[in-house]
Amino acid sequence: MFRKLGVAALAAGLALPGSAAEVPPKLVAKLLKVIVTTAEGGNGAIECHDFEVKRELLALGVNVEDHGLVAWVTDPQSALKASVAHKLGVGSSLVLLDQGAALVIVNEGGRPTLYMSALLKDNAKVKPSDAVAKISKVMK
Amino acid sequence: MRTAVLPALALALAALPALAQAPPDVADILEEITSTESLQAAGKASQDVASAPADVTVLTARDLQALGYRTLRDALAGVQGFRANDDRAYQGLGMRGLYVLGDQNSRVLVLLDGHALNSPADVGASRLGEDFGLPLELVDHVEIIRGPASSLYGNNAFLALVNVVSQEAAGTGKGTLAAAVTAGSGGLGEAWAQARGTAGGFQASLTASGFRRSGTSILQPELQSGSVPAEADQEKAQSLNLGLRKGGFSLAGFLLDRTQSLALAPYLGRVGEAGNQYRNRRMGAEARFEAKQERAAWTFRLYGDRTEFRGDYLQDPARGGAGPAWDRDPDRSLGAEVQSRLFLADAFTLTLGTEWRNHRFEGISTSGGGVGTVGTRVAARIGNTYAEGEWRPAPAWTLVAGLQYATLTPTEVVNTVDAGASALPRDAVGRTTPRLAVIWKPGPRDTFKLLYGQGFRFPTFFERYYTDQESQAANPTLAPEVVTTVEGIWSRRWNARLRTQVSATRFAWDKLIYSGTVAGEGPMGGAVVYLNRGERIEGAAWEAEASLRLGSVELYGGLGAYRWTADGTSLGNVAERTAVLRGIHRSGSGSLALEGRYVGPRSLSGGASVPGNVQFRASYRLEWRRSWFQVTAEDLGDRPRRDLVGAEYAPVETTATDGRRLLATVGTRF
Repeated sequence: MFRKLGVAALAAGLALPGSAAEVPPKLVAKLLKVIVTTAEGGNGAIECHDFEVKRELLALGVNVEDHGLVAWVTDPQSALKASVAHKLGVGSSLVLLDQGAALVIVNEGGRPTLYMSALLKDNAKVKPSDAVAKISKVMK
Repeated sequence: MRTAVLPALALALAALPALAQAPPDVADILEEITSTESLQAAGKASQDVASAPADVTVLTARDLQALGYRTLRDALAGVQGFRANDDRAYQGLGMRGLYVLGDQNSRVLVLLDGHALNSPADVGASRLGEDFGLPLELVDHVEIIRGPASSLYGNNAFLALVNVVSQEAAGTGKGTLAAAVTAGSGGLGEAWAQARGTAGGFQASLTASGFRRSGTSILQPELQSGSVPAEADQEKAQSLNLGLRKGGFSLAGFLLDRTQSLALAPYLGRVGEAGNQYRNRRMGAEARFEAKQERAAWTFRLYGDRTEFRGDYLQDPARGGAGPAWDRDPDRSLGAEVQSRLFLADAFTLTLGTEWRNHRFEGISTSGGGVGTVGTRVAARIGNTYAEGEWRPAPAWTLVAGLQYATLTPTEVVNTVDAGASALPRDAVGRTTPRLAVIWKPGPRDTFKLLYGQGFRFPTFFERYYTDQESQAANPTLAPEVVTTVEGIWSRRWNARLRTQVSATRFAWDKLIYSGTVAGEGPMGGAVVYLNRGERIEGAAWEAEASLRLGSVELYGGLGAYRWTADGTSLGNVAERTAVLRGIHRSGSGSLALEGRYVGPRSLSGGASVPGNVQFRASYRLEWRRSWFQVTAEDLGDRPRRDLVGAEYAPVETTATDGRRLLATVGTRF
């Protein structure tokens, strides 16, 4: 049993980091749907490799494709990749704002809150809509 | 004219359905999503309130701060379904109108960032007042489940579960240095400071806090002196919290030291003697790692806790006491939990987990009388293995089914009297706990929940095994108590401003553990012994809540009606009606919050009773970029508040609770 637990721990160690108080996937998907469908210059698709969020996006009828110009990013590597590809990276934690995400969705005070990077918001080919920008807190 | 009006009217009528079906504005949709509360506690994974298989309330940091709550007990007492009870020995928390006198809060599981603060030894602590250990200003939100949650959490998640999420764990909070000082009437003073920083990818925080209250003089006409002096009601506490986080890894630790003078002098103490006091020292640490794979999410926890309770009593010969007495109750534990969430299909998620905890408890006491030093040593292992499936067969339906198996296996139970020792029976206890939930969302506005759940509480080591061979007897056959609940909830979001919820709950509570007395004239005759109540206790709760936003004003109101009976007779210390009403007005950098709570009259079968009372709170907070100022007035009702007192803790049946207090806080952050 301990051997199996050890293997599981090792496998998990190679996986993506989780977060202690993240926004529920259903709410993330709802916010991403608004961001994708209202973004200026977007192609209506989103890149997402997070299974939980992806299944909620598909349930909401959102087109999940690798060529999506908006990307849901959950680790520094995917945030950087989205930034290099000039995609609108939307991240799952505040630290990702420094690492390539232009927007992040975090749980603050028990509710979803959006933060926007003043530096990176113009890097992407797509721009968040005014409605999204208006409710986002700007980090300089 | 007439010919022009009719086509215009027809056109307008034809346009009505189109207007009614007009898609909501993007800003409205965003506001609705960002005002939706979420929690981790209901399913050990992040869920929005409507999807959680539980009756849930989330207190946000904004509300906690605006209302100026200083302790967790204050905050919870403002939530519909809870009520505070202060017998001046323990800060208790009643649920759905009922508070079992003398309960050291063992029927509400309190978590700090998912780490259980309750202990199976459970001696002399409530974890709700100054023994919680983290200033509420540094809390991100509080997740509250009304109802049992043992199917995931096991022991103690009996009537409710409270998970306090710190800003450190939530990754929120502002500034790298923050500090605040509070001064209040009754000689109250509190100060805390927090430093946060990032280095090498690690986020770290260190928080230190100190509290002191010089006490209030309590009018107790039943006592010979007529009152208890303020010196016998002092309290002080210090705490230290440490957090370290990188990606999915986190390490948290805390230290707490609290001393409280016992105004009502339990265990035959001399009333008004400042030397009668409890001291709680707690330390704990938890390492947690969370990770996600393509179709699985993992959580690993490793934790350790050490608590030490110390009671000193200057016993009163006039009450049958024998001079100075004391008890020392060290308790330490080491535990681990592995949990996985498996996304087996697009509509099915399976949560599997197992948690094991080893405990060592030692209760040593001396009465100062003829018995000498006596002790109880208990070593035990507590296991909790659970599985829960969530299936969404259709977009509007969610079905949750869970099953948990818990065990308490004593490996050593020894009573000692001076040099001699005798072993007590080591019966293992097991408990299987189910959970079922059906959630139906027929549209975007309505949510219906039907919840079936069980909660259980193992007897604490103190209740089952502790004896001082004089005033308390052990009961090694004491069985766990079990509560079964069925609850129906209808919640509706009428629009972006108005939300309502109504619920009806039925309870069946078996084998309630209560403190009785040893029958007969033997050497232990008349001593306290914990027993299981033979008859089933039945309860019913009807609750209604509404929250409304009117411009810059947020209103919340709740009403509850409760009934608890055993064999058709009403239970003692039940408030059959409770209500809460509060409003918060926010404008620019300021907020003004008002709260009123009503708790109905309570009585005991012996005749003691306390009237219903209304408790008020008003708080004004001014916030600037780097600082804040807050002034709070508490409990300005014109009737003195009283609470009932357990017979084993005081020579009186009712006592005054802290009534009126004025607090001022100045804080800064950089």
